[in-house]
Amino acid sequence: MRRAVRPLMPAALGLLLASLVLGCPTIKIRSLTVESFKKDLAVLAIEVEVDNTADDAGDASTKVAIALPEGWAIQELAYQIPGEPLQRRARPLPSLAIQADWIYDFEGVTWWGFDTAEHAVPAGKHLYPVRLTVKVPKKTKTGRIALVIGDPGPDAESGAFEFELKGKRTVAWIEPPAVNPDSQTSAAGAMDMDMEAMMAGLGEGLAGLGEGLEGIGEAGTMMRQLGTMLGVDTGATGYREEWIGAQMEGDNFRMNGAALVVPEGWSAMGDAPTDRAIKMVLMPPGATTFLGLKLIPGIDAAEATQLFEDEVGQAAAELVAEGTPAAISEVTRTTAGGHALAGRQLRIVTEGSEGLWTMVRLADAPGLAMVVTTGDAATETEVAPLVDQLLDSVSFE
Amino acid sequence: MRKSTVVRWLPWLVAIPLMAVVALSCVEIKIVGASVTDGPTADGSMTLKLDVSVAIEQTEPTEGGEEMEMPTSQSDQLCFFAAVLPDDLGLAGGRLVGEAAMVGEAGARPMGHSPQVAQVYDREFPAPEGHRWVALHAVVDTVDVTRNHDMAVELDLTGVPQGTTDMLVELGYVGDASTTPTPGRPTQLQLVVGKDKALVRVVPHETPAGEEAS
Repeated sequence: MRRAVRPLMPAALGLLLASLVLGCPTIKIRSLTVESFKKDLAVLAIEVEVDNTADDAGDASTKVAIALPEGWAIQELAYQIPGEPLQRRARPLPSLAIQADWIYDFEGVTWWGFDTAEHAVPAGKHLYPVRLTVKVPKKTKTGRIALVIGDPGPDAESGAFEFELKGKRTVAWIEPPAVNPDSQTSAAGAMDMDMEAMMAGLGEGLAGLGEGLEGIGEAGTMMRQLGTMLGVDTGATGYREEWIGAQMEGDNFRMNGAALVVPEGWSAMGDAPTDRAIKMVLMPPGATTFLGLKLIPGIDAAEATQLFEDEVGQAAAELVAEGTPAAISEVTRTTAGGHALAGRQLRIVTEGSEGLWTMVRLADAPGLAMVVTTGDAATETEVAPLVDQLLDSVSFE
Repeated sequence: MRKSTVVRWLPWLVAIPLMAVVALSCVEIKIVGASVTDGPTADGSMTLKLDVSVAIEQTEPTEGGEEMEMPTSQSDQLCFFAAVLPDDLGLAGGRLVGEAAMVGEAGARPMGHSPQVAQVYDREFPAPEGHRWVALHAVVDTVDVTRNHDMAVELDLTGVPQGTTDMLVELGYVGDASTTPTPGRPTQLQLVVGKDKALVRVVPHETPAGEEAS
């Protein structure tokens, strides 16, 4: 249907020439999460990092082309401009979708095009929260996503990444966006922005965390520096490094994140929903379910217990509100992955497709460690060993 | 008064501001005939061929443009097909058939599905109850704007019931990705399907009083 390499039309050639002269923004998908999923309508939240050159800065409208799995239909795209509290709705631009489909050779996707009202484009690196309201057909929870900002062309390609909707709240990357291991500029920029707060959180977060877990920071380079400081061998055979986290907080741009050393073959993604908490989702190879890990460095035991109960109650309430019968039951396990369980382990059993949720709090974690398991047709028999395997790979000593 | 199937060509080299004057070519795309080229099969599948006339009318250069060299071709035109079909009637795919310079050496180019075009059309002109908008797209490589062209659109239909089915179809294009396709004045087709034979005809537009037939 399309040719990946072809002479571009004169307009595109002109824009390409212009981009060579003026520079052009680079973009990355930082995170993809499910905000809600009711019936067949999902609200996906995407955090897009755009690095505008000085020449990009000014007032302009922005074109956005998004590819989603075939059969999915975007009902609305809302976006937020850095420094603005309100979300705006983008205007559908199907001809942009046609052009993107022609230029990019991604199989199994349908392109959707939008453009925004004119807005201020600030120079430098900024996060643009994008919310997609998407109609998702039944039994098509897996697919690819790609995103292009600006005119489609070889230089604007974001790549297509495999992902899967896992339950009503989470997306798991199957083939995640590549992280540039040489992101010196990115890490340095983040450190410049909020170095003091970050280092304060770092000290707090690392107070009890030991081998295998690094807390609070930015991407690759910084993680390696932290690893060196802590004596963590992030290059150990059989393990690999994952990093996550980025957020917009009010008018202030703040990077927040964490790195986790996970067993080889596991895929991982996550986000930092507040400047304090870090959430990760890990998918063991070949597993039909996934594990979520939530860390709040520096939290005390009473607060942790309260939060634990609140999270369980909230999850159950959401399931019931969505029409999924759910019941909370206690599990009598006392250890998991060699760790003693603090308080109790709770399990939410549903009759819907979400299967089993298990929440664990560990006695020896300095902050709150919570493992949430879910997935279609997940059973405790399947989940328990994965929980143990995950906790085995993360030491809190 | 805007003609339904007339779409204005946009300035060609939009990204080269040195071009002070551009020629605007008017293009009229008209469905001039329809035929059944394959089917119907027992399960209601069939292929329709819509014959399309692409009439190009070169306008006079604007003031100061006499010394400019006029482009004789335009590249990468985004072509789309939209139709209102009964809910039960499926559109599995389609092809744009034409000259090699336009659609490649094979003389035909597969068309991709464009659910967003259908969505935009449906928001502007909602399909009647029991019907929906569907849309396909393809890119035309090079259009010689010094002459007219004959093209065709082949449509692979599924689930076509026996009896008479009416559908509205429209073929259009936009010159670049910044222009939004807008519904025009679609052509009505009438499909009559028997047990092993099918016929299709183009229903002539009713011409309002005082307006010449196009």
